[in-house]
Amino acid sequence: MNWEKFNPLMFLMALGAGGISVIPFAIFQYTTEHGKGLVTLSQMGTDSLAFISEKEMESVLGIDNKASLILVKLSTIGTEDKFRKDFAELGISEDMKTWQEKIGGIIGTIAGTFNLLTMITTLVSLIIAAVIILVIIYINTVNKRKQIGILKAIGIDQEVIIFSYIFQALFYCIAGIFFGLLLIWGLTNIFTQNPIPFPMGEVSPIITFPLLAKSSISLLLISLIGGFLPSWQTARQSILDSIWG
Amino acid sequence: MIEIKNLKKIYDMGAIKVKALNDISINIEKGEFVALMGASGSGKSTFLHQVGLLDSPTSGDIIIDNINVLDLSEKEKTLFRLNKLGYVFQEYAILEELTALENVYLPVLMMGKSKQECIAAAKEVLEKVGLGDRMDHFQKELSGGQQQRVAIARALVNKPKILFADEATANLDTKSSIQILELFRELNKKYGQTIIMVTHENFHKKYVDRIIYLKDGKVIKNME
Ligand SMILES: Nc1ncnc2c1ncn2[C@@H]1O[C@H](COP(=O)(O)OP(=O)(O)OP(=O)(O)O)[C@@H](O)[C@H]1O
Ligand SMILES: [Mg+2]
Repeated sequence: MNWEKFNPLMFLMALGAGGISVIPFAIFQYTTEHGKGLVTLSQMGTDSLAFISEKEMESVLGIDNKASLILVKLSTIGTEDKFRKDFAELGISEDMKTWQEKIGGIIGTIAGTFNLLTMITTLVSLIIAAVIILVIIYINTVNKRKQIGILKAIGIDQEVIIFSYIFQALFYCIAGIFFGLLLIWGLTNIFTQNPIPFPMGEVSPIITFPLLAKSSISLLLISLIGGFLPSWQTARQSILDSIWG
Repeated sequence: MIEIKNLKKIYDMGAIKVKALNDISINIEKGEFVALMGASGSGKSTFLHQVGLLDSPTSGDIIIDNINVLDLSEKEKTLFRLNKLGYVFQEYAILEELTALENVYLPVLMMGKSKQECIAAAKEVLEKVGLGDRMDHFQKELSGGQQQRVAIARALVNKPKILFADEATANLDTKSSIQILELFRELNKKYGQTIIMVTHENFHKKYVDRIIYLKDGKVIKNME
C-alpha cells in the first residue's frame, strides 16, 4: 500500500463498519483496528480523517495525558479575543489562535465575505429605513402645514411641534426595532435547527449583542434625523406662509 | 390698550410695491368689540396679522398693554401670543387626532400648568361656548359651527387680552354665524372681552361697538 496516498475516508468507506484496517501512526508504527463507523459531519476536514480513542493513541505513542493541541469551545461566539486575553493573563504563553486564524485560507475568505455581506445589507437597510421615515414624516408635516401654522399662531412653540414629529419618528423606530428583533430571533432559531450545508461545514447565523446594539442605535439616530429634518423644515416657515401659502 | 401709530405694510413685488397698509394710526380700548370692514384687498387681514403678531410690519409702532410688541424677539412674540392673544380663523383648524377638550387644553398645557388645571380651564371655557356636552367629540363628530366654537374656546382658554377673528363665520351657514356672533357679543358684554373681528357681512354691524372701514390700506371711516 502506498501510504503517502493514503486517504482514511476512502479506505473506511471501502472497508465499511466492522471491517479491519491498518492505520499508520508516525510512519513506522502500525496498529490493527476495527472500523467502528463512518463519521459524516459534512465538513471536509473532519470527514476525511480517521478517529481512534484516546486510550488507543496513548498506548501506541507511549505518552500519558499529553496533547500537542487543545481545542477550546466557547459558549458564546464572538468572545474569542476576550478569552485569548484571559488565557494570557492566566500565564499561558503558548501560541493561541482563534478559529478564524486557525482555519485561515478559503474559510477565512468565506467568513470575510459573509461579514462584508452583513455590513452591506445592514447599511442598505439603514438607508431604506432612513428614507422611509423621512418620507413618512415629510408627508405628515406637509399635510399638516396649515395646522402647524395655526399651532404656531396660537402660541405653540416651534420646538414643541418639531419634538412631536421626532417623537412620532421614534415610535416608528422602536416598533421597527421590536419587529426586527422578533424576525431575527425567529430566523436564527430556524437556521440553527436547519443549518445551511456548505462544503466546509454547516452554516447557521449567529447574532451577537454588540451587532444588535449597533444596528438599533444607528436606527435610533437615523429616526431622530428623519423626524427632525422635515418637521424643522415645515415648522420654521413663517406662520402666514404655512396657513395661506 | 392697543395703540397703533403710523402702521405701514408694503409688499415689495419687484416692479410694483403694494401698500397693503398705508399709514394707519388708531387706538382700541379695553373691552371694545370692533369690526374691520372694507372691500376685498383693502388690507383687513393684513392689519389683523400685524396687530396679532403673526407678521412684521414695514414700519410703525404697535403698543399693546404698554409693551411695544415689535421690539420682542420671535420667541417672546410666541409667548406673547400664547399668553395675551387669541385667534379664530376662517378655517377652524382644530386637531383631528384630539377631542374637543384636548384641543382646548393644549394652549394651557403650553403654559406649563398641571393636567388637572388644564382640564378644569378647558371645561370651563367649553361650557361657556355651549359645548359642555361635546367635550369628548373628535373633529369629525362635530358640525362646522361646533368646530368653530371649539376653535373659539381654544382661543379664549388662556384668557387673552384680545381676541382676533378673521372672517370666522365665512364657512358657516347663517344660523351658525348668528350663534357665533351672539357668543362674541356675550363674551364681550359679560366678560369684557376685547374683540377685533374682520367681516364682510352687513348684518354683523349690529353686534359690534365700533366699525373701522379700510380702503386701499387706509382708515376711511371710524364709527361708534
Ligand atoms: N403675501 C403677500 N404678498 C403680496 N401682496 C400681498 C400679500 N398679502 C396680501 N397682499 C396684498 O395686500 C392687499 C391687502 O390684502 P388683505 O389680504 O389684507 O386684504 P383683505 O382686506 O383681507 O381682503 P379679503 O376681504 O379678500 O380677505 C391686497 O392688495 C393683497 O393683494
Ligand atoms: Mg382677508
